[in-house]
Amino acid sequence: MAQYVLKRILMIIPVVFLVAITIFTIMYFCPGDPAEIILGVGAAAEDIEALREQMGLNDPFLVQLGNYLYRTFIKFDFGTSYANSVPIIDELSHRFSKTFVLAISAIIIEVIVGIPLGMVSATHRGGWIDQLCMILALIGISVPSFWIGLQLLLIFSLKLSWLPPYGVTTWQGWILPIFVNSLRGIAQMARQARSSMLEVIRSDYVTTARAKGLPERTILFRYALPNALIPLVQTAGQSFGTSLGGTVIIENVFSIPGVGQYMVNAIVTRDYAVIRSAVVVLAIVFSLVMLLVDIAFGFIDPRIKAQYEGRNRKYKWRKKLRRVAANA
Amino acid sequence: MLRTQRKVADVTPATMKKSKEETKKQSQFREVMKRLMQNKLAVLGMVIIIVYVLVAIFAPYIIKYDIAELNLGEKNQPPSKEHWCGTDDFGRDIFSRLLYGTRYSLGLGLGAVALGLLVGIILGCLAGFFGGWVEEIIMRFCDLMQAIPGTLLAIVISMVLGSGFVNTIIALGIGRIPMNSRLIRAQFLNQRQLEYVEAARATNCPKTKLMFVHILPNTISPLIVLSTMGVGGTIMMAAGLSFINLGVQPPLPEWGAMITAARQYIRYYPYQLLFPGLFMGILVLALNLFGDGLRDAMDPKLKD
Amino acid sequence: MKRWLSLLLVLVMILALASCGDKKAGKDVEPTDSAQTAPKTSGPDAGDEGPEQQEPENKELVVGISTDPVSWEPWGAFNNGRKHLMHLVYQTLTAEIPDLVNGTTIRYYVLASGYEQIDDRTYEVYVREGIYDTAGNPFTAKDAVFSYSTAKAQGTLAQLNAIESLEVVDDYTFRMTTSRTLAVGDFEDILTGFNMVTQASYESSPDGMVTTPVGTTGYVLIDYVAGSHAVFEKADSYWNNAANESRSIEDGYCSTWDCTKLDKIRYEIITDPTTMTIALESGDIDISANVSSNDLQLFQDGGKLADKFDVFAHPENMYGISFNASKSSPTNNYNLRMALAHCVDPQGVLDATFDGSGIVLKAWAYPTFMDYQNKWDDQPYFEYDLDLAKEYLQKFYDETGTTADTLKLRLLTQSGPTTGKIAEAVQAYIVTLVDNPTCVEILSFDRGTYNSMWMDENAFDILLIYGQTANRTYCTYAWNSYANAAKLQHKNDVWHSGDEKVQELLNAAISVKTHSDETVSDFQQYINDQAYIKNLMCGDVYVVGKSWIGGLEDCIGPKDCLAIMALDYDWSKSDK
Repeated sequence: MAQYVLKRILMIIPVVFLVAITIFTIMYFCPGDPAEIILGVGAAAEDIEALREQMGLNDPFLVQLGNYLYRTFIKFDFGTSYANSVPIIDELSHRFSKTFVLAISAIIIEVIVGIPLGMVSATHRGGWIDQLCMILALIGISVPSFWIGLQLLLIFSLKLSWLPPYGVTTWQGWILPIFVNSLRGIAQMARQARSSMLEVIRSDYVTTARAKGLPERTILFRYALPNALIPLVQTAGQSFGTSLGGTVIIENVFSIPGVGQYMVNAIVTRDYAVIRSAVVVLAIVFSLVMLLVDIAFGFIDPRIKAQYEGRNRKYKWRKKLRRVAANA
Repeated sequence: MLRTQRKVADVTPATMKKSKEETKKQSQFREVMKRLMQNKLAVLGMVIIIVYVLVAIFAPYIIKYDIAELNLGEKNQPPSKEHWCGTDDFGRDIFSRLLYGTRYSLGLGLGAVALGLLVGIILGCLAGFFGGWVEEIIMRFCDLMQAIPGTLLAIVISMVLGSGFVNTIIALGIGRIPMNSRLIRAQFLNQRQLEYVEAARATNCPKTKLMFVHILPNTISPLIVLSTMGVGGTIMMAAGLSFINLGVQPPLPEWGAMITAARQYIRYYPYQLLFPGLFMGILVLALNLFGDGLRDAMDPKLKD
Repeated sequence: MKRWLSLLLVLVMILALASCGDKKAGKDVEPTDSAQTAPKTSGPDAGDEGPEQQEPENKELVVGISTDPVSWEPWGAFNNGRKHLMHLVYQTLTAEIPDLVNGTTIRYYVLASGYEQIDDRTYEVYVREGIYDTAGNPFTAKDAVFSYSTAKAQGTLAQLNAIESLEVVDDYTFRMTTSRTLAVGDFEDILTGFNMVTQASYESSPDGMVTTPVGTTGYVLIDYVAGSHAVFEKADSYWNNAANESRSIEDGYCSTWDCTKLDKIRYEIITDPTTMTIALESGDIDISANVSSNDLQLFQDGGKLADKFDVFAHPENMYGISFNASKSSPTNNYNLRMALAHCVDPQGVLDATFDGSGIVLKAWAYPTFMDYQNKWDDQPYFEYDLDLAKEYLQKFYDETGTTADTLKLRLLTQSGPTTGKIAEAVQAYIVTLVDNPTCVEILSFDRGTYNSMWMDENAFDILLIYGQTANRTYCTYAWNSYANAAKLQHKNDVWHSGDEKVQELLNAAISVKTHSDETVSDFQQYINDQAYIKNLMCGDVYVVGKSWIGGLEDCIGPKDCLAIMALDYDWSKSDK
């Protein structure tokens, strides 16, 4: 298992490398000249040319690509933004913790709230709880997050003054953004949990357990639940990706200085250096989280774990030999 | 075990399979439709979707007011008898703009999903059918695209292409390609081993025909549900893009752009936000209901 | 065993991801414990004392701004956050502040006491005596030379590229030689536009003052959390307390840097305009220059909170429509340009986008510019006249054979809420003129692409030209930026006219020797005659402050910053 984990971690590196190359190439062909943007409107032609020389923008594409890859992956120097001398890596590391907290807490809440909701709906199928939960879930995935965000801000910040209207310097400031960011995920998770649970309840081993006369509670928690959880891990992972993208909007509404805001500002000013770096960092995070999801899969479902472990033939042979020797 | 010799003359496995498949498909389709009709919520969803589509097609003929003309004397009016959803900050009737905007929002959703399906299916077929290095390249390409979270990818592509209707379709559609191709490829891997494929190969069936005419129809069903729900998700993502000034821009009356433009008025004229959000929400809801119903109808295990 | 190992790996990964550090600046002073800051304004305990207390011990102001400055370096790129914050830490040699009441611009000598132009390309600048920064280092002419040289070496500041050499004459005098003759106002721009630092402080800063700025003002940055807040505290001493007491302009008094009124200033970074208003209402902030015009109804007369707040409106950017006069565009035709110019009602656009708050412009200039010709206010300037416009349009149709159905125009604008709305309004007027709803297409791009596109004569027909900030000093600044074919990259003016007369008249107007009322009028008259550009209006933006803050008419400082030090504070009425 550890070998599988290590192998996966190592595989992330070439993927990220390729992502960096792709993004760099895309940005290269984007319209807009960074030197012009920095110097502003009406700058003299010679000044623009001089700055282009200084920034290395006149070098051929491969040379620029090479320089970029070398600086990013060997020296870990993401460079500075076009707009100022702040190293991008500093900005990113400061902002990243906020975005990450937002995205991860969304997942945690989705799991804590969504799964029980789905389970309850499934076990009381057709009842009023089921109908209610599913209607709420449907609404949850149909409404834009920033609208809900702004409405809640009005109610809780202005009318009731319970929560601060902006920023996350206090713990109360986190409540609304996290809640709004996780709404869609809760709804998605509840629906998914419900259908997964329904499928499991109809399976043979549950019928057998019932036939054996086991109490309903035991059946639910020991037989049905663990098996129902398996596909939900996948949903949680995908949800992380969505909430990572969704933080862009949430950060805007609640004035949270995270990576999303950083990227949006960079897009407006065509600050390619920032965009490249932000995308590469987010891709790395996303891949790592996907890896965590797969590992979690392995822990929950022994069949998949065997699959991971079975990939190493030598290991399997050694185990078999050991068993044979033990029996001999 | 004896094998009965079969006369290959006029009853080729291809035609036999085809007619069997045809009847199988027909009855399967009928079965699915029957089950779908029994699900009242799904029917409701379908009806709503059809209404929206009709509105999109006939919009220019049914709207009462001009969607672009400035009418500053009547700006920011609350809902009334003349203006069912009120007017916006340029005095334009919101209801008419919403109706006209159905074209854009539905167009974006359907266009992006269609693009994702088209390219995804082709890539998935190629990967699943040929295997080997073709499959490796295509799968790595999918890995690459999936390494960047969906919304982010749409943002980056939008940035490159610029804002606008067609560009947004492309930006949103590209993000759907890896998911579709993986699915098709997985299905292909399953189907590849079945007998009818072997039989078709034995009769010198050309590769493209085998891929697209024989195997593909058996692999599509999981995609159908995914795509139906995907339309709803795409419409929401398009609204998100307009929020950060990418995607479709005003004055085009796309719902997301309307919500973004009305954001600053949330405290004073909340109806300007409410109605586009409602329109969008109802459509996405209907799509989800229909998608749910479709999935239930196609998978008998879930229905009781 | 292996299972625990993989579990450990997983935990390590999670911890590593979540523990990316927080960046804080101002490491010298103990940082404010941000976790304890309550949502309410952190008022000092002094406020609890009896009603006799006129001024609280700690005079603290909380300001709301909409953009994070990101970096505190003295010569970084412009951004809206830096616009309001740089003057808290740094000073410039001179400052130019618009006097909106009298319609002019006043020049103040802050760190410099004067300057003289020796010859065509040489200037001599005199630095005041006795200047020192908050670290105690004295500031002399050699520090000014150091500041300019270091800024120029960055290569990112266009105005400094004209400097060829700098020479220290003595402790309080230095000389600047330029590589080319500067246009009118360019040298003043160099004096007003660049922050001054002492060489000693700059070199002792580990990162070029990105996180630890040291300047010559009376305030020090003590806490900065990126994206969240910045806190300034009064320094132990300020070099020009004498001027603050005498208020004498000869001694270098400038209200923007009057540090006698506030002890502590806290800036809260709030990106969302609705949230900014909520913060004002709930008392979290006392004043803000980034209040959206939609929320004004709350604060203006008759509004719910009118008695608690004051509002001050001031101009920000000018907006106008400029035409593509090259052969590749239908607007090459004079009659079409006249038709379009007369069919757009600037007051209507102002009503639609700024709720009518602002002024309609009568020239490609703003009334506070030093060389603005008052006669322009009395002359007609492309008056809004739909019938006249239709006549011109008909002439255009007759000359070229185009019809209402075949006319297609592209309106290029920068994307953004304000410019987008202005483009929509202009589009609506043109559509009314031509009576064809699809005749105008809006092309909306981000700033970078927009700037490259207007240099391409095939890319647009009508350009929404903007951003020539109303608090500039000379009309020729904008003219030089957009109409100087010799200077611009595409070797043509913004109208792609290839018109040599434009270059000739422009050169006459921007040269220091020939800049006069006459040359300025001649240029404006010529572009009016050619109908190349119609400047529409200048919309207002708003400063909203609690009613115990007075003197709001002086709140605009150099480079359009919110000059909080220039305001008056009646602490007895505040809730501090």
